[in-house]
Amino acid sequence: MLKPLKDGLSFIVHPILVSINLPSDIKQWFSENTTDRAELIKQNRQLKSDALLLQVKLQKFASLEQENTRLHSLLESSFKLGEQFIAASLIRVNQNSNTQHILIDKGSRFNLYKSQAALNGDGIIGQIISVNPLTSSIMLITDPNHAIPVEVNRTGLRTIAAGSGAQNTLSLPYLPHNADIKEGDLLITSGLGGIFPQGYPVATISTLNALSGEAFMHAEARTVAKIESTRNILLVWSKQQPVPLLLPKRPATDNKTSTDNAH
Amino acid sequence: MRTKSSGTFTLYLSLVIAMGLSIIPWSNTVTSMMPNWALLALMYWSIALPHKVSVGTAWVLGLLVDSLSGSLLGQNALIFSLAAFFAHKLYLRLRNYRIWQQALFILFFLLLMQLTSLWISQLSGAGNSSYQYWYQPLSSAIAWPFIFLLLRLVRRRFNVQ
Repeated sequence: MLKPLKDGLSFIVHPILVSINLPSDIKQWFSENTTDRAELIKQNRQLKSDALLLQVKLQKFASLEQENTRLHSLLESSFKLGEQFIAASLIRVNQNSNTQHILIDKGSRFNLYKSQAALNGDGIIGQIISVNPLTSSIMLITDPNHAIPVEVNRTGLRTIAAGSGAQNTLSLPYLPHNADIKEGDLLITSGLGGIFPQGYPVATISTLNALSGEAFMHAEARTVAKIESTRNILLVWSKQQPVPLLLPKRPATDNKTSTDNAH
Repeated sequence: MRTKSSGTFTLYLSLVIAMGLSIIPWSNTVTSMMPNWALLALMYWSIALPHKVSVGTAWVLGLLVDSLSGSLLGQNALIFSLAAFFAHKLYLRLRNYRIWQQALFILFFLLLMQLTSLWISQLSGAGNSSYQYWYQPLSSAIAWPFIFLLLRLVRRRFNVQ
């Protein structure tokens, strides 16, 4: 009901947001435009070698993806790989121990929707909680009001990781004492709940503390994505539509994944 | 520069700058110690020129701050309106206070407002606060003399009346 009012207000305050962000934008523009030629060449070489490495990995990924989809179809279960992404950049951070929200520079103009999953290059960082026309705000997974369904990558054990309010730290409140888990285990999204797509890295177990007398273990995990230093954010469309069980002759996986690059 | 409309423009510009100041990204500890710039600027103008800054102006300003800071819509609007209301009630007395007495008033008033804000956020289910939450009234009281002198300079320089 208040949506039009909120949208209108966000339009009015948008110039303030942009002008506050201006110095860092100018600094970035300046540093991009005054970089030394030698430095650029060095960066270019580095990026080319990185791209080569990633391409080699991707070659293998394409075949693995096909194999995985085929195996899943043999098991008559459906599984989705390859989602659509859009890139956005950070405008403003609103963090204290109660709320950990960030504001990004894309909104309903780009068809973002509420409870869309947000990630960066390393892993999941949060989900969208409100969408304005020009901006949208993201609740981080470390927010104390946030919980994310995860599974342990090594064993497939499913549990829930709640935000702790501390930076880059999640707590796992529902681990029984006999759970097969150890420090350094990677937690990935389990895809349950339907908000986060399955299989993205979330956190690694950092401390495990079995207190006798308590019903559950005291476990903490460090997020994989370095949330406090991230500026570029990807938003993923995870429409949970399954792949068809019978594969077509040539699955068109390439044009499923498209990226829109901002900045 | 000496027309009436330019004075109004300066007033609103200072309010907009104050809103901008309060959303500059800092680290967590610095953010919790930042004074409430927009509320301080509003209080200065409603004490100095009560006929120009009404409770309605404060309400609209509060709504904009809500939209900027992503808090519950109306939370800051209520607090800003209350601040303007009390400033209108007490401006004759407040003008006679010395600056440090005004700062003391700001301290207690903002503590009360912070408490109101806490109640509102507890009603909406986002309660538990840390002690850092209470730094803001203190830092605002410390910042008040500077804001007061700066905005008085602005008011005299640009002939806002």
